[in-house]
Amino acid sequence: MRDKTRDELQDLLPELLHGRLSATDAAELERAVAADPDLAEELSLLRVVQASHQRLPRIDIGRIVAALPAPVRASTASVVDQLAERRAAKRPMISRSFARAAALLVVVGGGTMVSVWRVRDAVFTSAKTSIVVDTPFVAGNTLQLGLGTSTDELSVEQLRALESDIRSLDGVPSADPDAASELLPVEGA
Amino acid sequence: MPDVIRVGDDAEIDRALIARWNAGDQRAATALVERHATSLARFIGSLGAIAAPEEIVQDTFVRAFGSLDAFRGDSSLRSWLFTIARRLVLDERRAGRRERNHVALEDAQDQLISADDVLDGVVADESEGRVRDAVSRLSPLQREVFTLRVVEGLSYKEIAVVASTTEGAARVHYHNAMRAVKEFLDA
Repeated sequence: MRDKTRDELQDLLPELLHGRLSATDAAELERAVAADPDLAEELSLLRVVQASHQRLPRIDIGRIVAALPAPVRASTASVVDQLAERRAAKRPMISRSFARAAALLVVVGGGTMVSVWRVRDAVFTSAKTSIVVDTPFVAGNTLQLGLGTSTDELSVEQLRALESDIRSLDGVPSADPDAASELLPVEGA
Repeated sequence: MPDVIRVGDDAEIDRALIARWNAGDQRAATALVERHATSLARFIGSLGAIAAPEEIVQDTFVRAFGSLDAFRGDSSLRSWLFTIARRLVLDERRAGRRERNHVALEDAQDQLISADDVLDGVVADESEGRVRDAVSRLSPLQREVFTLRVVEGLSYKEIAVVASTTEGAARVHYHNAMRAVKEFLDA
C-alpha cells in the first residue's frame, strides 16, 4: 500500500467504501486519506453517491423465487457417464441381435438373389433393350456432403471432450449480445 | 492493485449456494435472490429509468436459474446477473414494449423518492439530490460504469464483463465520470 501512487490510492477508494480491503490495507488507506484533503473529499463524494442510490422500491423476494425454474440437474453425474453406462449395458444384446440378423440375412438374401437372377435371365433373353442414363457425375470426382456426425458415432472419449468443450462455455441466457454503445441516451438526460 | 482487494468471500458463498440449489435445495434459491435482488434493481434503475425494475429483476433471475448449471464461476455470479439484466434492459428498449413506462432517470428517481417519502417520511438530502443530478448528466456508459463501481462496488474486471468493454476502458470511463461529477458539483 505504501508504494502506491496517488492515482492507485484513488482507484482503491470504492474498494474501501465497500469493505473489500483487508483490515491492514483499509487502515493504511484511511491514513492516506486523512493526510490528503483531495482523497478525503473524493471519498466523501463517493459516500454521498452511494447513499443517493439506496432508495429503491421493495423487491418481492417470494414472488421471484416462486417464478424460478426447478433445478435442471438433480445429480452431478456427467451426461457422458450416463451414456457410457447405457452403452455398456446394451452392448451384449446388440452383439447377439446382430449375429442373429446377419445369419438370417445370409439365408434369406442368398435365396432371394438366386431366384431373382433366374427370373431376370428368363425375361431379358427375349427383349434386349438397353437404357443409357446421362449422369452429370464424373467418375473419380466424388463429392461428399458433410451432414455432421451423430453422437452415436462418437466414442466415449470423444463425447467427454465434447462435453468438456460445451461446459467451458459460460452460458449467458439472454438474447442478442450488444455493444456497449447501444445503450441509448435517456430522453431528457 | 488487485493484490490488496479481498473478493473471494462473496464468490465462494455464491458458489456454495449454487451447488446446494443444483442439488435440489430450494432455500438456496431464496438466499441467492436475497443476496442480489436489491443490487440488480439498483443497477437496472441506473441504466435508464425502467419504471418497473422489479420485473426485470425477476426475469433476470428466471433466466439465470434456467441455465445456472452452465455457470462455471469464471466470472462472479453478480457480474453474470448484471450482464443478463443489462441485456434484458436493452431488449426491452429495442422492443419498445414498455415505451410508455420509460421516464427520464431523474423523474424515476424522484418517483422512487416520493414513494419512500410517503412510506417512511424520508426526505431526500439536498446534497444527495445534487449528486444524483450530476450522475444523471453523465453519458449512459459513463453512468453505468460509475454506478457499478461506486454503488455496487464492482471491480473494473467485473464491470468490463457486464458492460462489454475492457478493464482499461472501464477505468477511463470511471475517472472521466468522476471528473465530470466533480465539475458539475463545483460549478
